[in-house]
Amino acid sequence: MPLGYLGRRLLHLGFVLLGVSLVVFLMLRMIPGDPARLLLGEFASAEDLARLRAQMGLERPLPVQYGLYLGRLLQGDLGQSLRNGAPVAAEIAQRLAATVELAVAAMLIATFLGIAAGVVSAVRPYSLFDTAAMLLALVGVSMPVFWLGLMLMYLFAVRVPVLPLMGRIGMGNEPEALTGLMLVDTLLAGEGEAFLEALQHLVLPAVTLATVPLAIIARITRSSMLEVLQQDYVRTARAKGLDESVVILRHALRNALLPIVTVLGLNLGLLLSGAVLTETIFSWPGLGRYVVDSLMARDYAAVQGCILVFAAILAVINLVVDLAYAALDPRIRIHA
Amino acid sequence: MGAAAVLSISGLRTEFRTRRGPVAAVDGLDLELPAGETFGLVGESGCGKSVTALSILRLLPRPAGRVAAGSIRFEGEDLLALPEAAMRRIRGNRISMIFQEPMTSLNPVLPVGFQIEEVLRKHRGLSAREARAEAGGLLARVGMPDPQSRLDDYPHQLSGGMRQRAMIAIALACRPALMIADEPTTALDVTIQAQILELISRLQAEFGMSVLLITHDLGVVAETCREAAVMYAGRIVERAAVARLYARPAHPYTVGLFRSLPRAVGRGGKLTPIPGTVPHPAELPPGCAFQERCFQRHAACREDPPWAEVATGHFARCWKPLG
Repeated sequence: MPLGYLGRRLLHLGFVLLGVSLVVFLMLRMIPGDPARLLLGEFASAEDLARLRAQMGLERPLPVQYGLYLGRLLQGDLGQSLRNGAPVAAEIAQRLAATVELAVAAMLIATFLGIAAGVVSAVRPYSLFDTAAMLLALVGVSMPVFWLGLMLMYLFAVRVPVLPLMGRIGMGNEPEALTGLMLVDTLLAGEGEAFLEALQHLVLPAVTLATVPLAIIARITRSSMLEVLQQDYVRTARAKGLDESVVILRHALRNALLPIVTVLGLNLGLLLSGAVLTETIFSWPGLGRYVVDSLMARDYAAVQGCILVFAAILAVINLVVDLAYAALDPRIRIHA
Repeated sequence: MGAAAVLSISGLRTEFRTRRGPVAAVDGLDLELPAGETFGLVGESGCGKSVTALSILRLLPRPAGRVAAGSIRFEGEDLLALPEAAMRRIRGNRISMIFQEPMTSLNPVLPVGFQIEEVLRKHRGLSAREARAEAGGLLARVGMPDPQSRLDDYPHQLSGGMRQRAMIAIALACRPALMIADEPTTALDVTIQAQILELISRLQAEFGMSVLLITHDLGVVAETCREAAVMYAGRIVERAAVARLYARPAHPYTVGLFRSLPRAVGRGGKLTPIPGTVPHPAELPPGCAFQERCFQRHAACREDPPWAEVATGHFARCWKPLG
């Protein structure tokens, strides 16, 4: 039964990705004017234009063009960068790990601190902690990411220089890139100092990126927990003589997690867009900064590739969220 | 009162914070529960019977509700004076409780077996394997069909009656001295109601435990209890053996309850509702709380009526008891 559910969801995922590829393909074709001229710029020679048109297959019917494009996609070919002719797929792969490292760190901070703060707030509503935490959460969601990043940078890297200003690790300390994840690579290389250095570099960008999701998760956790704590089964758990920590964590939090997981999924998407700003501010060599650089350089092929990758990541996250639902709520598991 | 008391409440006052200030849902309640039998506590909704039950287990909704005065003695200790940790050793172990709503009283995300095993492991220190075997046995004792395979079911896979059986299995798990059943059949179909009442009666006899059965239904009391008390506006107004109570009710409120009961009036008889409504606890008249709805009120009712023995073992709080 669960395998059938998973199979159907994977099939669904395939269709979503197909749709995304179609949209991305049509985007460049639907911009008014000649894509080849768009790509090469207004001073391109007639021969160059003709060569590119032939290369892109622009004389052929649209469905055929899409078929060819899809064929290349399936082979992992996202086209060539217009800036330097490098394969876009390789460029993205090289930067993806940096973004993943940053996003995972931010998500861990946001999830653990957010749920902890929300639970404590709900258990002691209107206490000093609750009031302070919810006020901070309000400030957190309202704060523009770029401003927060700059302020943290100014405070902790300039005024009180306890943390590095930018980048992933000091010059010359880069470990051999095995996974692309700096923390993992330094550990694999057995370089403790480099690991600590990478960790220090990660703190400010990760905290910046985590702030908005952290605030949202804390607020959702609080309201979800407050509702669950009113339920009859929580009273039953207390009537059984269970310790209050068991009542809160095992009986209440598990039920409260359902809406929290939804928000977690939505926030992962938010993290990707937040990464664009955060990576730019902290010179973090990830996908977000690559998108910005490519946009500035009008590198449409690169932008297209990034959109495709972002969309695929989001679709996979959605699938994971739905699977998490099924794991948490037996009612979904059975009826699915 | 004969038999020794398993639990004795005296002078219980339970207050709730409201916008109009603290309001006593239970005020000056004295009650001795006889050991080893089923005792009925009857009254309309809002009379304070559930609040009494929650006060015993100290499970009042926080922070609104609190016990303001009184003592509740159980197995040689005053429950109201116990530290919270000691109280947790009593809940679900020496005193257990089943609730009105079997649909919402079980945790929807945990298997039924786990919810039973939890109590066994907590209070009886059983290992996971022992607890599972014991939980299966308990489900069998409460008449759950196919008990072993039900252990892995989630509450939504069970019918209302089966859920209440599972709740009873949880309540029985540690062989409590006292089981409080708060309207255990109100949310169930009539045919299932009878089954559950029969089950409670049978288990009470088997385990020799005391049961406090809280209900608004005089029919349920007649079928299940040997003795019962009637509660009105936060106090006990009458107490007697059930046979005596039904034959010769002494308090005008009890009389009114019977007159509004179709089964007691019989075919062709006239149902007589009690005039008026239960007064808000903040607006009780001085003296007898029932005076404004009473068919025989007189001047003395403005004074607090005494708790008087009308006949042997039959008590009523009234200036002019009938019967």
